[in-house]
Amino acid sequence: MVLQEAAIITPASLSQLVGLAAMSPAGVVGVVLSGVLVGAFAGWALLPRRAPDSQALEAMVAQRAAARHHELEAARHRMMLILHAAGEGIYGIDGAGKITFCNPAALAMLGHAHEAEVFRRSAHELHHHHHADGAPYLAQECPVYETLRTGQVGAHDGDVFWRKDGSSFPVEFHSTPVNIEGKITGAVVVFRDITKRLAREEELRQSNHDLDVFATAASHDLQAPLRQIRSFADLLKQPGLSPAESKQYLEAVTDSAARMQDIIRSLLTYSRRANRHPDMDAVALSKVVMDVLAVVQEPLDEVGATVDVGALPVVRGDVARLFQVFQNLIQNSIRYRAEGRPLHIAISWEVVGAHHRITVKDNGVGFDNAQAERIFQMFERLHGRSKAGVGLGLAIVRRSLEQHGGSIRAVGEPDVGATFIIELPRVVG
Amino acid sequence: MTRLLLVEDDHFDQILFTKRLSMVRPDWIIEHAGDLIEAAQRLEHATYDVVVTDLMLPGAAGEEVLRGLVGAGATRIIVLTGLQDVDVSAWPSVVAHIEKADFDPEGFAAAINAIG
Repeated sequence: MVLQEAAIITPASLSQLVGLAAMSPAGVVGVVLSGVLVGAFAGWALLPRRAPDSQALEAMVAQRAAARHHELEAARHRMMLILHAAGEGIYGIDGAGKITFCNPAALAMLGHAHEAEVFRRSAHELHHHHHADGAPYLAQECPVYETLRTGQVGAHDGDVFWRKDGSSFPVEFHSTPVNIEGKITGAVVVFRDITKRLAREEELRQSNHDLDVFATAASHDLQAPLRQIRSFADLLKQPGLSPAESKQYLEAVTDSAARMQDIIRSLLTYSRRANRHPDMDAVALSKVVMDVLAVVQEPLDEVGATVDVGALPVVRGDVARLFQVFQNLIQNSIRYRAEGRPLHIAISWEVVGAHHRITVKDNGVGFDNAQAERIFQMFERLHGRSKAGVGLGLAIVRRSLEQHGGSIRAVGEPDVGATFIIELPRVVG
Repeated sequence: MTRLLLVEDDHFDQILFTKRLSMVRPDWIIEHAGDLIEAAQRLEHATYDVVVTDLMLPGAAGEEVLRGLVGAGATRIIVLTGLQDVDVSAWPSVVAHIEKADFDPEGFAAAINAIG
């Protein structure tokens, strides 16, 4: 903080300064901000210099001056507390746009250790010099300069401020003019890092999109089995049905009901995954995969599948979600296995840059690579409804991995197999 | 004798369509294909009065299905789908679009007879 100590100018020194002889200032407190005298409180005694009771009067005025000094000190202290306690970044600029003070929150957000690093430097050139896309940000276009020019309070949202280390963050900021006797002498800028707010807005946008898809699902994917239940129930009402027909229609009713239940259960899982933050912990993926294999052992055995699991890393993640990721991928491989050759699944790991890359590869029916992104969308089934899936498994997988800061993509070749490539951050701790 | 090809991968919808239509037109021949490949094979070896098709099939959806069927020689197509808001106006071969929920066997049979 560059708010200097409030300087006290004594009556004697002031009278020397201004050369007053007959009219003596009895007590003056000068206020100095950033080394500049910006105001003063004074008690004036319009008395001959050596009047008989001058000593008593001088003492009284000095007492008042001291009281004013204490008031000023208290005010300065309060202001310091506010500036230090504020979560927002606050800095002041003079009429030329140079920084005159900067609170600790602003220094921390901009990556500076000391106020001296920014003092008297152009705020615009220091941290507002480029747009988010890297294009130069001309000072003439800067809303803060607009405030200096017009004296209007400015509010701005969507710019970025640049840190000392060259990184940037999105901000919203207000610039308020400092108006002294009708002259704009500077401005105070209050800003806030809106990274989290933008992330929440993105989450909300994604959530709204999911709601749309959810509504589509309710109107289509859930309606199909519902319509079938009604239609088969109508057929059951026909007279003269054979026992075989009755049995077939009843089974269709129960199968369709079970299918509706599957869809609803999957939608709930997806919705829970979407709306809750994961519980992050150190997770040994080899243990997760072994647990999954224990659960899906029976269907694997039924189709005569083999699974090779290589060494797998410890990652930072939510164990329940990672379990579901591998469970859904393996179930996907079982569901889309190729007729005529036993299913083989290989799970392997390598380190690629800052990521663990885990690959789940099968020799199933595969898919056309042009469709690789479609398979992660809700209710997409490249292979139609002949395969039993609900169409949410891979959407859940992707959503879970994204919540880990990871990603998944797929590579396929028809009649050869599918490969799912997971990437998770290597940072642990 | 009217001969139909139903292109539908949902087993239950195959049964329902066939059974309900057979109840009003027991003399009609209804054959099934589960995907476009099977449909093309059938179209190659037989002539159908109408091809009735879903628009969500294994490996193809929407206009891809219609393109595939027309390419395989289907000349009169009825779209029977659970999808709403389907625009098939750009496809002269599509003579009708019916939502599965609205399927009425009597009306359907009458419409096919009207086509001739």
